[in-house]
Amino acid sequence: MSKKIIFESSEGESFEVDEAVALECQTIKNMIEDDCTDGGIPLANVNSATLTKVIDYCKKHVEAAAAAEANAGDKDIYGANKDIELKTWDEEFVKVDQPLLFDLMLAANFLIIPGLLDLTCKTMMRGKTVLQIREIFHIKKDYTDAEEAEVRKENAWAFE
Amino acid sequence: MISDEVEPTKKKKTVPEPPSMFSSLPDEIIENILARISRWNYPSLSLVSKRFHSLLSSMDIYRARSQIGSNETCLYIWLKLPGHPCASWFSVLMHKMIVIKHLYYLLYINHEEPFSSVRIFDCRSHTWRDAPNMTVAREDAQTVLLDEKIYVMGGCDIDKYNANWIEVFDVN
Repeated sequence: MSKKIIFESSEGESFEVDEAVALECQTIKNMIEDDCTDGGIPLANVNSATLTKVIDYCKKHVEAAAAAEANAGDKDIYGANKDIELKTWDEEFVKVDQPLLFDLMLAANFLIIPGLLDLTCKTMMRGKTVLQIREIFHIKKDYTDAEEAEVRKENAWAFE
Repeated sequence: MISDEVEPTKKKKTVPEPPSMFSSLPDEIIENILARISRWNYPSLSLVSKRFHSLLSSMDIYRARSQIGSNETCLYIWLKLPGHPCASWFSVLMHKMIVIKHLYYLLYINHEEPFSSVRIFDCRSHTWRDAPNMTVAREDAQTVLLDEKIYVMGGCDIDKYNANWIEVFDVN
């Protein structure tokens, strides 16, 4: 019977997870090592929806790592398949709306989950145009026309 | 579940995220995002806002890129185009055609007259910097890169400079 860790979301909801799953978060790992997880870990800046997703991610990756280890002997046949499966799972995992993706990224940054931070950061802006980025992230264009022309000129070496 | 009650009304009105949400992110997180995007998008991404421009122009972004190991292969060409007064460097994105590993620098040695100055082009940031001068002025010298060291040979009078006929330059 593995040890359980209790997370508490910003709404005060409790989530019980296996210690192995919680260990995926570097921040929590440090807390476990320092033995200060009794009575639950309050995560005041992570809401329930985000926390559910984060736990799903950690669970999946713990399972995948365990499966990879079990199959280490016949890596040629199964190892590669597992990798592809996990990659596909990750891709599906981040097919969420922008605010949730944003929250997931911040949670990954706060909890220090390198894989999730990488995944969410990658998804955030990739393949989007300048106008789309301004719109999605509510960024105001703060260039004057002259300044914009200057930046374009500076980057004139870039042909696409 | 408070969130479930609040969410539908929020969605109906399509209330956007508070505008400050992204702007309030620390540079470090935005760098994390930008470092995972192809460098070839940086020129256009610089147009998003002044903050993007300054983040993408700083060396920190290249530090972040090497930390997460995002490398991209490209080819640099020194080309004089018709109608342009002088030749320029062009970088070409490679689609896995040629893989040149660990080439971060280009060395520019003037080929038109004997010259001892050397300039280095840092392929990560697209910036030139001056390197220490060669001890001998050379013209049309041969260069070769071996183990992070650049060997420059010839291009000078071998009788006069036999001790310095070959020079080595450590890119580090």
